[in-house]
Amino acid sequence: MALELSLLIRPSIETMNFPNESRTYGMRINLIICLVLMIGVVVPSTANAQSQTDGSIYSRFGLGLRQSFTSSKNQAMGGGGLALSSSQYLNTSNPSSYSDQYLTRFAGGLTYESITASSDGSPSGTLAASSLSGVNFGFPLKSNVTGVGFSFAPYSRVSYRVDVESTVISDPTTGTASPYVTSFKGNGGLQSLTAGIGHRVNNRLFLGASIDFIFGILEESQNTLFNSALYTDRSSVGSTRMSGISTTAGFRYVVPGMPANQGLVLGGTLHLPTTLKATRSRALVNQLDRDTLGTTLSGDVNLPFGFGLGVAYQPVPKWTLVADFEFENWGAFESDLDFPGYESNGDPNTSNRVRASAGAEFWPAARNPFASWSSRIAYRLGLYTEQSYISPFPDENIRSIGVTGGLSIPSLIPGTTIDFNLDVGQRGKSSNGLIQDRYIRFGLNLNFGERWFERPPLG
Amino acid sequence: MYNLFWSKQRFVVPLLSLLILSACDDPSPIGLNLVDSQSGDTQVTEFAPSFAGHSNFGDVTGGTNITGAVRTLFGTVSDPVVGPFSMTGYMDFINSSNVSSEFRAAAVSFADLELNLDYIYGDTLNPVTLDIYEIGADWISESGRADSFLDAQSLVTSTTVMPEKGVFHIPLPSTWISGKDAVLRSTTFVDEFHGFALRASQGSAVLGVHFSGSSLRASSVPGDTVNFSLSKVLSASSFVSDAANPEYLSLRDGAAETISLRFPFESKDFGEAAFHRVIIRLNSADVSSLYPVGFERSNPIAVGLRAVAVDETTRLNIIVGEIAENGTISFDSATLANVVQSSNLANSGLDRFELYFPVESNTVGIIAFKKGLPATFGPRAVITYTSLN
Repeated sequence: MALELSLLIRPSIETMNFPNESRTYGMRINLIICLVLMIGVVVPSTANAQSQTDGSIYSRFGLGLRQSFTSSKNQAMGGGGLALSSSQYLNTSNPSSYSDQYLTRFAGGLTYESITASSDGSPSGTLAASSLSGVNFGFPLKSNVTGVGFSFAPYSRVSYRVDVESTVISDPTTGTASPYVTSFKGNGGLQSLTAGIGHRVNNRLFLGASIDFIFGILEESQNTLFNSALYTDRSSVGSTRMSGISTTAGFRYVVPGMPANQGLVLGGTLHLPTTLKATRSRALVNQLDRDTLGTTLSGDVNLPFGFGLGVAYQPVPKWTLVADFEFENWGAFESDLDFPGYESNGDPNTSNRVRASAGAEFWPAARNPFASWSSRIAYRLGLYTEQSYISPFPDENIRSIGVTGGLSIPSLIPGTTIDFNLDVGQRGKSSNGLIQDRYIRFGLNLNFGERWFERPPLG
Repeated sequence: MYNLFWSKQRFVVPLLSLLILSACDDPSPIGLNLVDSQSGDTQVTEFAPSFAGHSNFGDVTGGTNITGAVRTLFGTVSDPVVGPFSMTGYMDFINSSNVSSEFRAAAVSFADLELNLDYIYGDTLNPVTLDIYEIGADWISESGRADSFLDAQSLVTSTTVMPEKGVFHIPLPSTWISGKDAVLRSTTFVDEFHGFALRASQGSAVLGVHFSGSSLRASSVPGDTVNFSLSKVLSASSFVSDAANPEYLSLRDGAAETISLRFPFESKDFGEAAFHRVIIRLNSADVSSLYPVGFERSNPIAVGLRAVAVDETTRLNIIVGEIAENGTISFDSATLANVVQSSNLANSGLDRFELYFPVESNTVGIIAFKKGLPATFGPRAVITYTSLN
């Protein structure tokens, strides 16, 4: 049982010896400043949709590209990790893992993404932007038995920009041609604010549940820019606001009867369907002037149910292997409002979203808290493939495939790591009128853990 | 090792900033086929607005020595394009602050009007007989319009002048001087005296008297003349008869009416659209051949375009366009595009456009538009817009 639980609970970091306390305190402060900077700067820029338009054209369709950042560890191992548990990471992919906490944990991350898009017969274009990966916060109610977790992470993201240069004969009398740029932009996305609880029922079964408040704004704009004082640049902006509450249930089960020094855990989640209330308005924008166009539309957007299954296997304490499968029933997606790729009165271009991933972690120090600094660095690799829930064309599916990797570097502060992740992949294809995105994502994550809410020892 | 690593952590903040700020900006049209099917293209279209005749809204003809009109206009003209019309000029004066005590001590023995005639429109070969009336009540000149007539009480004098530019004098009769002696020498002259109205009873010319060099002069002591400077002016216009040339639609500076211009387009012509540029072009006619020899006239150099709301009260001056040598007038401004944009959004209450002469013009010059021209020679609007449907 002890080995099986090694998948679930990392060694007790509080037993380590560390340099003098005052210096450690100063470093904590620095790390907290980094986290606050990350959240304070990136969250507003994420909310400010105008600055986030440099992503994939595929994010234009449906509710945007689905996002799933659950922890930096999971991200580096292919993006799965439903069966994973760790006291060093708050794994928000499965609320049952919230039980495995003895430190209060605060984590956040940034992702920098560069996309090179290409299609047959067209020169490629490159766009890049940074965005918030997510912010997690969790703490134990009863150490390693019951814990709660909170997270804020993107559920979907709309971020694209297509610029087209043209000319128009603006004055038939003189034949004057005026150049202009039409910039099609999309930005915004849905965010997920989650509160969950996990509980260890016994040494084999862990259960958890979470409430997910999903909200956000999808914005689509068309800007006509003349770069001439003779013309008035104008933009039409369509905004769709949505919000609703979803629920997720999860479990993990430690498989009994494994050989000595090995552990096998199964995990799964179920996302119940939910209805988002949506309102849509359009406006004509000229500098600070904003005129409403038409009437505001309202309706329901029904998110489908989904489930995920995962397995984690630890052949030896240094190695952890994971494999995951996720399914979302977008074939049954319904909405009163139309979205690119989805017409409420037509044939939708939606299909079920399927994602499969696998990954491995090599952690030389394993559970040895007194190992050298270099051996406490964790190395991660993963791969994934995904079929998107929506496509520009009904007879095409948009598939992604990618390879992930990461390093987890321990800091002087017990329970705190800095993780660097990499994700290289491609999405779509360059034929049949589609676009192929080749992307590289660089993730920087701070993962801070400390004992809070402790009673001072008596005597 | 700890020290080594922690020193590296110091780079975390700059690295974060670098991540946030860095963004490769190389957008391309890739993906256009995935977005353009739901968005419109930028287009240019031409519309032929129509003149909707005259509407009664007087030109600004009032002014002070600080702002507004710079001269007052008076006289009668039989114009071959707009027909016979007459102007009544109003002028008021202000006393100087440094009047000598000697002037106030003795009775005024002499007074006249010294007027700087700087504008002539009409027949310069025959004299103009002017009647000068005293205005009975205080009046406001600022923003005064050509349809504002004042109450002129009594005829002071009549005189005849030749339409020639330069300073001329109109002696005031001794009966008027003796009646106004106390007023002229009073420190409350401004409150007690309200100026003169000038009308032409004979002749066929409109004369303009400029602020500069014009005054009411009075003298009580030989060799000591006091100037009462011209302080405010107003010109009122009226048609003598409705005999305009039927071949032209004309707009006259300093008149009590203006020309309306309507667009035939409605929202259905564009749907929801973003308007980037609107140019309105007009071709004025060359009517110089209609005027006889000896008829002095100066062509206006600019004309304005303004928007009129359906309430007939709200007016927005949009732009003043110069009249080119070939008679073309082009109105092209962001304000015009914004007016049309608001009209398309149905939130402006725009009823029509009007042509007007800027107040700085301050003449009775004429611009004429030939009636019955094909659309390509008539007024037209060039509109650059993007459909939002």
